[in-house]
Formats: sequence, structure tokens, C-alpha cells
Amino acid sequence: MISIKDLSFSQKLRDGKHQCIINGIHCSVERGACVTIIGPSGGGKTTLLRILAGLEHDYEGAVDIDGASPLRAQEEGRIGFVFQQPVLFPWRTVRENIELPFEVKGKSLASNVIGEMLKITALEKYASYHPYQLSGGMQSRVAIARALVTEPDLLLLDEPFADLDEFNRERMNLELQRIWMNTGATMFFVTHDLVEAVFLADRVIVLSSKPAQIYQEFQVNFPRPRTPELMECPEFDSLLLRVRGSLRKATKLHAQQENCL
Amino acid sequence: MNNSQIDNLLPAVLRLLSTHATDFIVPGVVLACWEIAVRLFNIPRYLLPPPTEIFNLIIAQFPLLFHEAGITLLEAILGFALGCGAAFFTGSFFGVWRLVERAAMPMFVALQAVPLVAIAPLLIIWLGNGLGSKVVMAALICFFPMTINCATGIKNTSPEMVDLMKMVGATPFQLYWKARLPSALPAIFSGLKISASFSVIGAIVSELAGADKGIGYQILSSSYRTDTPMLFAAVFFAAASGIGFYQFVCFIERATFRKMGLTHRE
Repeated sequence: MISIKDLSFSQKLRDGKHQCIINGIHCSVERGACVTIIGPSGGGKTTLLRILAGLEHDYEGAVDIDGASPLRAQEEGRIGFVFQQPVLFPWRTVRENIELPFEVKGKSLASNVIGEMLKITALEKYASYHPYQLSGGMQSRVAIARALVTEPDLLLLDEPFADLDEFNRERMNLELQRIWMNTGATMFFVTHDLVEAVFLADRVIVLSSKPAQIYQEFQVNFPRPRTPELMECPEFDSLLLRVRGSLRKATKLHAQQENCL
Repeated sequence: MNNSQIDNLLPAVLRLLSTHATDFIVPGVVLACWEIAVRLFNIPRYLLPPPTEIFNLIIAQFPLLFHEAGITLLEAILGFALGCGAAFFTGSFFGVWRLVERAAMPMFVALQAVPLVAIAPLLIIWLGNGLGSKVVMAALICFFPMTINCATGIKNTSPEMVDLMKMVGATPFQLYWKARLPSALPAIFSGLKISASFSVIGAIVSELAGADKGIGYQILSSSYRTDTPMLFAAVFFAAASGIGFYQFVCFIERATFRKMGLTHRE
């Protein structure tokens, strides 16, 4: 269970003024759920993920990750983070990149853990490759494997497939769903692709921005595992339209606020 | 050897010559003009000796010049190791701690503007005519560019990589050793390459200020004797030492990147 209460965050600007990034986000997410977050770009989505990850500390309000603070959960290795770029270490092979979390913790690992992870992410054949030899989609899979290898309770993904083309993104969405269903982790997924947001989510959160607030939430109840055919059915389309409308209103609100300033 | 082999060999040789031929055109023309001009205008050889004479002298005096260049190169390498070694530590400190960098960098930039070659005589007074003053001069001249390169490389590690290391629970030392240092290697190697050429210059400058051996001493003593061909030959060896050392560092760089599985970007 992850609960966020009255979360606010402001950033100190160069001129000494404070800019409010997040203003009063309030939500709770049950264990094992997938929450996708959409909102106007530059609107504090990444900041929200970074707070959950324990990478930003100066927030107001309370964040509770299965009974611990984000920093504590981070230190216990219970959070996996996938950045927008794969952030692979170019001097390490695929296997060595995935092993990094264990190596840093000084834990010895059963070699089958890595083997299993390579299998889940379909990277077995590429274990000894270096990142520059891989395609963008494969690099994303390595990043996801590295985030999952410590079996985190919470998986945070910040637009991980933003650089992929439509076709590869759809494939990665299917793979991510499969991997996530295998692990049972709670997932927060930030994206600007609405199809992706609706397809993956149990719950879509639409944020308004600067400062970010929850504008609207949508429950998504399609059965799992979801298949690409789902995207062609009318229920999916009508939900997608509603989410799109909501995002447009949230963005308009954002523009009006900017005009006022 | 049968005909088909010869048929294959000839184009290969021609291709090799043609790819490298361009490298020799400009120096070849310059040397030819030089030779012709000296003979045509009867330029006195103490002003400008013809290239063929310098070449003959290099052959004749090869053992002596080789030995002297070796001494200079030894001074340069020791200074390089000392200067770059120290710079590696200061650069790492500057790269990791912003505060240290902000406090010390202005002084470093100011010190770098001091023409270090100007203090060569001072070093001779302090450390004497021998190896010490040369090594320290070479070390000093390497120290500043290497510190700045190293600090920049360490500092410019991608912020995402730093965040990632935090997420997996890395200690500050692990962050430095496993993320910052490997990311900084290209910058560190470019610092090392600059330092390699600089260290030879530093050693020679110090020899010019006072020495009884080394290539700088040969340059100086041949100028006293107005033995211009010998002076040219010594300059040739000084240049060759610098280029050789530089190429050696390039070789180490390529080998390191190959071993790390990185393709060296040309």
C-alpha cells in the first residue's frame, strides 16, 4: 500500500524565489496495482516519481511506501527506477549491467537470478553484448531488468519508451505487462502516450500542472493479460477519448494559469 | 610466386602507397624546396644547413642523440607520472566536491596563466642542475591541464547515472569508482595526451635553463658552437621524443577502451 497525503513540493529558482511544482497531491494505491500518470509536459510528473524514489527530500506532506519513508525504502533496495534514457553503463555487458545492484550491495547472488531475469526480458542471447550493440528497445529491456532484479516492491518508470517508435512501444508494453504480472510489484508509470497509459493501467491519473494536482482519475477494468486486440474494441476507444478530453482540459487550465502570471 | 599472386600483390601495394602517399607530399615538397633553395642561393650552412646534411648527421650521431633523447624522455616520463598522478587526486576532489572546486578553481586558473617555463631558472637554483629540477618542471607543466580535464570529466558524469547509483544503494566511493571514474576516462585520457607532449617540452625547457646532459643541453651547446646542423638534428630528436610519447599514450588509450568493450570514437 502506497499512500501520498497532501504532497507539495517547491523548487528554489536561481533568483531566490520558490516555484511550486506539486501542490497537494492526495492518493493511495493498493499493492500490486499499476498506476499510469499523464499530464502536460514539464508539469511535475518526473518530480512526483523522484519523490517516491527518495531522490527528492524537501517535500511537504507524507509519503508512505508499505510503512516506510521513500528514503528508507530506497536504502532497503525496495524501489526500482527506470529513467527516460536507459542509463546503461557502456563499459559493462548486458549481464554486468543487470548485476550492478547486487554488486553494489556486496551481495552474492545465485547465478540463476540473473539467468531468470535475462529470460523474462528475452535477453538471454545478448548477455555478453555491450549496450552500443543493442537496439533502443533492447536497451530499455536491460534497464527494466536491472530495476527488477532486486525484486522491488515498487517499480517507478519515467517515460521509458518515449524514444521508441509506435511498433516497438506496443511490443514493450506487452512485455512490461508480462514482466510486471510475474513480479507482482506496484508500478507507477509516467508517460505522454495516452494509448500506452490506458493499455497498461489499473488506474490512470491525469495531472494538471505547475503546480501539479490530480485533475481526474480513471479506473481501467479490462481483464489481464491484455492483448493488442483490446486497443481495437469500442470500450477502449471510448475510455481513451474521455482520458484525452480530460488531459486537454487539464492542459488548458495550465495555459490559463500561465496567462494569469 | 605465381602470376595470380603477383596480380594480387601489386594492387595491394599500390593501394597502401596511395592511401599513405598523401601524408608525404607536403613534407616532401617542403624538404625539396629547402634543399634546392639552400644550394641555389648558397645560404651559409651555419644559417640553414640543407636537409641532406642534417639527415647524414642524424645517422652519424645516432648513438649520442639517441642516448641524450633517452635522458630527456626519462625526465619527462618521471615528471608526467608525478604531475598526472597528483593531478588525478586533485582533479577527483574537484570533480566530486563542488565546494572544493568553487574555492580552489579560480586559483588554479590564475596559476595556469603563469608561464611556468619562466620559473625554470628558479627550479635550477632550488633543486640543482640534475634530474630533480627537470622532473619537477615536467610535473608542474602537466599538473594544471590534467587537473582541469580530470575534474571536468568526473563532474560531467550524467546526473541520471548518479541517481541510478543512489537508487541501487551505492556508497560515495562506489559512486566514484564504478560510475564517475569510468565515465571520466575519455576526458582523463585527453588530459594525459596533452600532458605527454607538455612533459617533454617541460623537460627540455628545464635543460635549456641549466643541465649537463639531455637533448636540451645538446641544443644549447650546439648553438654556442654555431653548429647549426647539430642543432637541427637535436631538435629533430626532441620532436620525435614528444611524438613518440604522445603516440604511446594514444596506444594505451585505445587498448584501455578496447578492454572495457568501448569502441574508441575516432
